[in-house]
Amino acid sequence: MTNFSRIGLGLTSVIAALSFSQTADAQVTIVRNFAGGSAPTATGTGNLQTVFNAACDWWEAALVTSPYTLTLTYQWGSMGGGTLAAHSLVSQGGTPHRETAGSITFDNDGSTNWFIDSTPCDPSEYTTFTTNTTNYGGGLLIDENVWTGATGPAAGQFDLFRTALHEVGHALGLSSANTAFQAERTDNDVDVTSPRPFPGSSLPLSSTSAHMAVGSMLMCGGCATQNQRRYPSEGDLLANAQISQMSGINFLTACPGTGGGGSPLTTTFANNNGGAVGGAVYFALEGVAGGGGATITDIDLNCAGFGGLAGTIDVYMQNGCSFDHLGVWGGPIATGSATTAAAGSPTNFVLSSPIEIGEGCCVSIAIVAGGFGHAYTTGTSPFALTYATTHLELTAGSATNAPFAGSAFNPRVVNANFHYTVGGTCPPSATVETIGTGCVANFESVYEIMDTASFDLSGQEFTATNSASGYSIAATPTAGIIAPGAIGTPTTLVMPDDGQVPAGTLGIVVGSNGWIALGGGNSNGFVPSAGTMLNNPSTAIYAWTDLQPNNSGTVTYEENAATGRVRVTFDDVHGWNTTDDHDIQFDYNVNNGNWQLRFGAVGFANPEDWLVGYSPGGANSDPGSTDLTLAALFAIETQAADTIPLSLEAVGTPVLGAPFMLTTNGIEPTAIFHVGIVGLTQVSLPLSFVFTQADPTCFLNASLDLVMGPDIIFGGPGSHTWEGVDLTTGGAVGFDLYFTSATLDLTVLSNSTRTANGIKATTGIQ
Amino acid sequence: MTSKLFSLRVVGSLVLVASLAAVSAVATTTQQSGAPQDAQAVALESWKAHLETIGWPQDMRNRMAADFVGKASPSVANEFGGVTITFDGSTPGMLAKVSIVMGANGRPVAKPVVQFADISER
Repeated sequence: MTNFSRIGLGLTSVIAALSFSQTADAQVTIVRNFAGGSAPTATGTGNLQTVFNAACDWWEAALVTSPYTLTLTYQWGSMGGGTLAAHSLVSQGGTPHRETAGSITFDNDGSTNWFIDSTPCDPSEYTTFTTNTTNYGGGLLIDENVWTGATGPAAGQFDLFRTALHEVGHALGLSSANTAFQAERTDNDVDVTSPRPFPGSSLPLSSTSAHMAVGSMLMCGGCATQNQRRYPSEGDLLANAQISQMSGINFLTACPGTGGGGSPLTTTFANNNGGAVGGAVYFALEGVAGGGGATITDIDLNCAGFGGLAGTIDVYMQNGCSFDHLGVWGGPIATGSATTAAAGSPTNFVLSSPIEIGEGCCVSIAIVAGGFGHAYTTGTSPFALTYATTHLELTAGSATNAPFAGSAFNPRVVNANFHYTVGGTCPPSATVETIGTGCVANFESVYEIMDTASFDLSGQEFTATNSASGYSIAATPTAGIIAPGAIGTPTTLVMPDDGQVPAGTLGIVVGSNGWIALGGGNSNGFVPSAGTMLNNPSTAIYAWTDLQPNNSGTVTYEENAATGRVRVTFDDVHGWNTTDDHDIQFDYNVNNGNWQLRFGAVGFANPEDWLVGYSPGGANSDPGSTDLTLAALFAIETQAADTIPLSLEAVGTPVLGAPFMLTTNGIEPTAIFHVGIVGLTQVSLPLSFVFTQADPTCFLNASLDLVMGPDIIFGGPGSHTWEGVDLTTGGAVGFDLYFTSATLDLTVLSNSTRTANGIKATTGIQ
Repeated sequence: MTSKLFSLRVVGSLVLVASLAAVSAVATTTQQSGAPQDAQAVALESWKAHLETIGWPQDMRNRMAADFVGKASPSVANEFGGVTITFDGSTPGMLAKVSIVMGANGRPVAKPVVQFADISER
């Protein structure tokens, strides 16, 4: 095969077709500023920062809204006896009207006996979990979400986590200083309206303050008691969602990101380390079994520095959990940009293309920072290396100061919230498959090759009737060869071993090994070969095996010059070095090209195979071996000319990060131009629908969205490799593209135009 | 090479003060001479100023400020020769207080301090 060099004309990428689609699923972002203060004596080994972050994470995950940022400053401070904590609104505004900044103080004067849980998302200090439902006019909703039965360090203590959840809840709507609350409280309840769930509910409010009047709710006033951990109920969430005009709620019974609950999956924002600007973090994400998968829409990252930087991220994916930073990552599957917040606070990057993690799938993710450096956490105690929700689990990995290069630092915990919707499929691997056919193959030649023991044509007469469109070959039973002399006077030919002799006056040449030709020059070889037959210089009919007419049987020739008929009879000729008789008879009409081939008895111990068939002189395309016994059932048709179909094959698969190449094979010697065709749609369209002169047996297998080339090719037959699409800079995974190719000669669009089968290519990761 | 980062934390002392003792922006005539001022009126104006600071529209603060003033606690003599009066409009779950430090001339010696918070009580 010849590989053509490419004389390139413009190659246009269809990367635009792979452009990312924009989505948004922003929620509440609470910026947390710890202002200090002295921690009081307490049970438990936690600290206010950990507890407060867990409370903020909960509310962020539990309220659904358009993007909204709330800044909270929190601290320890003296509150006086009887008061656990206080929330003060600092500023409010916007549309919808919401608190934009607030301050929360937790009592440290010693009058409150706190339990400060080092693992606030692990309620193992409590024994009994309870929820309760009540109908407030809009259907049964959960108005209690509580752990009771405190044990160990929690026994007899006020839970700081519960109080933090309560105070953050004030900042999100239920605050006396919030004018939206004052507007809502006029009838002493919160009237829930659509689009929030449970519309029609009237949630009772305290008559004296910005609290719920339902004792079981987190936001109840004066309801803080020891020995319990109370979470936001649906009633609490709805009250704030209604006051602050948020669109929905996400009820949780466990912290987001810690083995329960839903979006977001949160690791930590307790950065104690970080990387260089432009560096990368690596980790694994797995769809939790039974969780239904997840589709990540945006990621909050911890960005190093003081904030205000124009940050970008490129997200890469590998199959498998190994997060090998030196492995093959392809191109980015999603990007994002944002102005960074200060380290310790989340910066939200909405992904240009959602990332799906199917249930049971495990993928490695790399996030490359642009314009900023990652702030992350060294993955040693007390920081965990795995984080999970009901749907998604993260395993911490490593970090490098340059993407996909150098030594990796590990373990490193990416500081992030992964916001997702439930449901997703496993990221697809890049795949290719063959679709359709180009042109129907047509052949002038026909043959069957078989070993000597398998010969099954004895007692068969093949009659080939010539026409302008080729031969029609039928088989009928025969008693054997016809006695010589029926056409003309037989002449016994003196045959050599492995040779050929001319016979008669009509140009016939007879081969020793069972063939007749319309001229000389064909191979005298005793080993039947399809390749030899297809390239012999003279048209011939073959019953080719290794025969020994020089010392066995007779070979006779007879002709009728008036009718053009000739007959060659091999009578009792032995197979070479055997005593088996072979009776074979060839008829040919030089006037009309019709021929017959009869088989009588043959031997089954010949040393060589059989090749039975017909081929014109000169180079012919190989139709492959055909079972000639089928001619007894229906006519076998040959064609007046060979039609060589192009075949297209992919070179590898369309992996993001590399060009996707294809090779067109079977290019005819006469072809001059090659065009690659890239479509967004699979078609199976007769080429004659594109231009009327086309060979009606040729089809187009991809929509004509982009034509690559023409590339100038010549010197075939051969193949041509071409670039289908450049995925070096990434693109979307799971995107289907359809490729095919065509060749043209100097007649350009004509019946000599050839098309190839199609290739369906689905972009993917490794 | 990693570089160690330190979390940026806004020093919140001023915010801490604001959380429990928001300084009213009310314009006072603290140092001016003149007739003694009515403490109740000073308290009301202090509330209006505070509510304005935290974003309340004028009609709401005019309508509701008086609800937060509450009753005056017994006055306490102070080092300025006057008395300190606290008006407490707190209700269960809500802290609403304003303290006015009066000088000997019966006028405030400093901007009254307004406390307005949602509180969690046991």
